[in-house]
Amino acid sequence: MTQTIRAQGLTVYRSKKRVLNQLNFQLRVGQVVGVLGANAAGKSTLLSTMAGDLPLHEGQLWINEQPLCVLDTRDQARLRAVLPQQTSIHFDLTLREVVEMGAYPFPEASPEQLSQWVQASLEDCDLQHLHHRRYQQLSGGQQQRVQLARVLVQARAIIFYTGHAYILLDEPTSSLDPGHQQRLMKRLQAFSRSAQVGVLTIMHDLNLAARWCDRVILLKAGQILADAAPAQALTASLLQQTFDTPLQVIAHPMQADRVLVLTAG
Amino acid sequence: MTRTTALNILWFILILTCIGAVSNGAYSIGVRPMLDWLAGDPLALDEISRNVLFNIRIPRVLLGLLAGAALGVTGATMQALFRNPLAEPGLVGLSAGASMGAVAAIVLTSGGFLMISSAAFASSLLTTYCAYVLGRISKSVSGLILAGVAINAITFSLVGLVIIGADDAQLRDLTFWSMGSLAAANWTMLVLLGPMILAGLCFLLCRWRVLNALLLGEREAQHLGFSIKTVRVELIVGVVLTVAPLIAVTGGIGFVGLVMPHLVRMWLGADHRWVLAASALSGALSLTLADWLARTIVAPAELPLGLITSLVGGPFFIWLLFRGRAK
Repeated sequence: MTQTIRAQGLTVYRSKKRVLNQLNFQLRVGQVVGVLGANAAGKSTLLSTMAGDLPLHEGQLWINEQPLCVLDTRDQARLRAVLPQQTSIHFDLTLREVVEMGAYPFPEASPEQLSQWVQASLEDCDLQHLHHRRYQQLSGGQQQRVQLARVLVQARAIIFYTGHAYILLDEPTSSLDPGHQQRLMKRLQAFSRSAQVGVLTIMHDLNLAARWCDRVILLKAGQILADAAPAQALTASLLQQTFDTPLQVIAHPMQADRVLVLTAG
Repeated sequence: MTRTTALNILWFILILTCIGAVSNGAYSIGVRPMLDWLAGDPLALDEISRNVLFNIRIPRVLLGLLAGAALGVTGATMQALFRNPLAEPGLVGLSAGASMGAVAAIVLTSGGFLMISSAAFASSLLTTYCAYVLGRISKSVSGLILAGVAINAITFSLVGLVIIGADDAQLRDLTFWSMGSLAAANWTMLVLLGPMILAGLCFLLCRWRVLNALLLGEREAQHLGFSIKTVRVELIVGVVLTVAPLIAVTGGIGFVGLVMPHLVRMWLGADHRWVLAASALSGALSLTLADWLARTIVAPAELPLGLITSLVGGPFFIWLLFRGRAK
């Protein structure tokens, strides 16, 4: 069985407008794939479609060679974890209670297993010292890390039961400070390599993508402009096409295979 | 204090309250003789006391426990389903439907308890079903709230129409029905309704994971493997089957389903593993206490139970809101 999520001619309409047009790509386990693109390029629609929130109108999405549409909500939750952009909670839950929900697709998991997954995920997100705090009292960046920890618990549970997992993230670092952005991306990359996890993440920070993604997909008006390693995809001309704004790309002064993106002008 | 301790404390107070409530009333039995009798002394209670105890008090307290637990749990369920701390079963047209049925039975037929409660039950199922079907037009549960508002408005106007044709005696019956009472409790009723309500309660108590996941949001709940369509049907059916038969026999009892889960969340947090059980216990406790008050405060007459719960619950709820703001 090939362990990939594969899109083939993926086309999605939203209120009669074609938002995704004939996308073909693969998400393999062990890889972090960044999805970059201007606002309204179709990034979130792509993620929602892969998460099973939106129906696809043409083409097919395959998870491990099974069409997504034959899997019900529960099956999907036992294969992939999703981090939506914002989650506000109006009820009084503790941080730990939120994080533990990641294991809900696996009610058969033992309490010992659960606390092990929670512990590891809290450490990944630098939350272990806060774990009895109330979610509502946390800052925006801390809440984002809590949601990410919940997704990591789900991923760990999926790995435990099936051997590999997929994680779909919508701007996981948007509210984080630069230190946490780097640390989290680094741990995501390490996690994806060591534990058979395929990570697809929407990003806006080009340098973060250049540093931590194994591959980037440039999306423009619902179509893929480029799908390659950061050094090949993040070129001045492709970026200019993607974002309609002049951007300059230079070689990283310390690392030969890396690039830095600067705003030109 | 751990949350297990909190539940144990609730159990303890509930048992004490039940002992007090069955032994005390218009005809006082006394705690001591009752406990002696339970301990095996057949002469501790006379004939009348035994009669009052078994045919009136115990069924009444049991119905109160069931009703309180059902109102507490369904209130907590609705609040999680709609992610709104002010939700309660009435939101989807359940109570309005029940009163429409009751009013129709009182005014249009000869009345009678069985007739009124069957009509209330059938009618509450009907209005909730209408609200549900209408609410399905929208993919999110907010559609259900909007449909509920519309159905409530229509139902209340129908109630008004029927009331125009009522005579004075019928109006009095109507008023008393709408204020709620446990006075009709008997063993037949308990045997008929008890299993259904207990089954509904167990069903909802097992759904704590879904309810927690819903607090994150509908989309997040889907990502955790709960199909929102299925969940919506399951929870609404669970709530209706738990609470509709009760409203049908007790009439409207306000504020227990709203205040108790609220109080429980302030005390224990919003994790439904605890909220549901604690809402059941505190709902049962508060309703047993309220009914005890209702039948002793002006003995030998009786105050309507719904009047007491609203009279105490209303100001209490205002206090809760102000306290919440002050924090």
